[in-house]
Amino acid sequence: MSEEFEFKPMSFPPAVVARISPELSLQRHLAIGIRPNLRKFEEFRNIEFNDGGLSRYGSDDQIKNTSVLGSSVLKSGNTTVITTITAGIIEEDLPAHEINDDAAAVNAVFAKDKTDDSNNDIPKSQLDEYESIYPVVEVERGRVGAPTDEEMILSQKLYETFLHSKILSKDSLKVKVGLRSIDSQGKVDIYYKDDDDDSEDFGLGPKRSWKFVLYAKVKVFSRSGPLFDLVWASVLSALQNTKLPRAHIDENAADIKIPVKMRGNHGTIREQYQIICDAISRDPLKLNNEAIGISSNFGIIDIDEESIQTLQNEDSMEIDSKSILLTDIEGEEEEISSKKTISIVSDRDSKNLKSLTIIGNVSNDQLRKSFELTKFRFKHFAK
Amino acid sequence: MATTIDRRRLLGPANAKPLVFAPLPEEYQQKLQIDASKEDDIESQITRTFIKSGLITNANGSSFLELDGNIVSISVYGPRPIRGSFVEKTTLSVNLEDNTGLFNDLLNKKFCQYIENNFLSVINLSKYPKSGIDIFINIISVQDIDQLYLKLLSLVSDATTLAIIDAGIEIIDLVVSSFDYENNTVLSYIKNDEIVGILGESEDSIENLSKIIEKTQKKSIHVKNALTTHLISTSQ
Repeated sequence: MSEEFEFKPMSFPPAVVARISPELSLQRHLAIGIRPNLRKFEEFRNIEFNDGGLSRYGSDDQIKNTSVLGSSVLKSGNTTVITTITAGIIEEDLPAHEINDDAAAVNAVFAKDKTDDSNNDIPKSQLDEYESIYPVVEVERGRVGAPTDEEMILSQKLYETFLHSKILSKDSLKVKVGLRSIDSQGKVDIYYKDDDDDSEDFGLGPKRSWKFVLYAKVKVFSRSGPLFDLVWASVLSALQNTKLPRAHIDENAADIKIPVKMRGNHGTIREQYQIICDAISRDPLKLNNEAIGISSNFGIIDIDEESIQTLQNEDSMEIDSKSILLTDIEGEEEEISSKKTISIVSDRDSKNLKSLTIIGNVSNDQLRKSFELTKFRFKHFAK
Repeated sequence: MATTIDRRRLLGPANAKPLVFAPLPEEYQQKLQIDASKEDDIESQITRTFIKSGLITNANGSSFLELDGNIVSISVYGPRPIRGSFVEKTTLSVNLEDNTGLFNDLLNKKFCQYIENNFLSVINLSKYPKSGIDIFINIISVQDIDQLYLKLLSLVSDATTLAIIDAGIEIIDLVVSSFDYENNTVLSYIKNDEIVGILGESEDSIENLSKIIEKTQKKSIHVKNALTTHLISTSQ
């Protein structure tokens, strides 16, 4: 006794297949020579960006009442990335002998065992001369709460790649503190010390120094694939239009020492300065332009023999190798299926690598090809 | 000061102080001064407004609105299933994300509360049982946070209406809001004369209430016309 079963093939629209079986959908697309997003294998998405006018210094004649110092709005495909740069001020730690004239005397009382540390020459690594920014990446996904793994990894990778790219030197973040004074007529003057000005300091001089810390808030809308490239481009373009305000302190607050007496010992406490940023005057943020490059990502997909066989002859494309290098991964299908990926961050002329991440078994040829594409892309990007 | 360290985000050194800017000199302030007649001229405001719906592809509905230096982006997620016990009506939640650093917690709450109240009475909640609707407001740029924040709120409300429509969520009528600069009050209307929300923050706004209603109602009709025209033109 046998029952007859009939198997009816189910059919779905392409968008549904892409969702329920991304690898199959991708294989079928690649076998006929196109990508699901209709780009060519080695085609990058176009990236457009502008400053978005979100910064305090949008145009020369108008100053907005915001503390955003630089901004960028980037669009690539459907994805939009908005970056705003803000800053804080931090007092730099200086050795005691530079801060206090009487450091030696103070040390003699409070830190008797400690020897003078002014001659300690610890060799500095080159990286010490550079700073990074503090990025917080948020990918909008309709949920609130703790950041996702992706957001945390992106922020960390941004921080580290930025530091190791040596784009921002410590010097460029120094706050050149001016001094505000009010004369007997009540006229307010603010003095700034210019770079080439060798005149004497305002009595604060090298004894105290402040630096800016830069924060980047990166907001991503409509995510459609790996984000590091876009976030990197967005942060760099925001930094390129970032301007740092000039800052000053009040004359009557300058160099005040308050004598204190504690357990019979005499000492002084120095005034905490309130640093006020000038409402208008600002200087562009100095970046090491040669180090500013672009980031590109590649995915390598191994072609399934079976999917080529399913094709009719007229559909088949000449695919000479068994794996395909895809540039600029986009969409769920490509992202899930790309088990082998390459991510390259290079400097301005693609001469030096700033960061290279390889995941999976990538052949030399594929790596070489991706470098060539990066260089090629940069030539077009620069235009 | 926060007692716990946030290890999930790179927030920089803890002892860094935020920037304090000196007040702008007078010649700059004049440029930023608000022109009351300009704020009352709703028709020219409408022509200056830029609206775009559906930009955020992974949300159910979204809208983007730009006017006079105010930029807001609203995304609506839902109705989507919620976990937990059965609920007969959909729950609405509103979140505001400020990218400008100008919002304090109180203002943030005020905005969310106002939008939530507006739309609770307008969305057909019982049509979507066992589900939740989440509205995310992104403030990208603000014209004037001290004097025109209620204008921003009226724009947020209008943009939310568009985002909810873009998400295909059933509402009784378009919620249109209009802002009265003179009395610093915002009102939201449906069906031209039903008030679904009011927020006034000046001392004499209660005394002038009937005057304000009359004024904003006229404005809201213009806004409604503009929104309807926009919706019809984009649906084709």
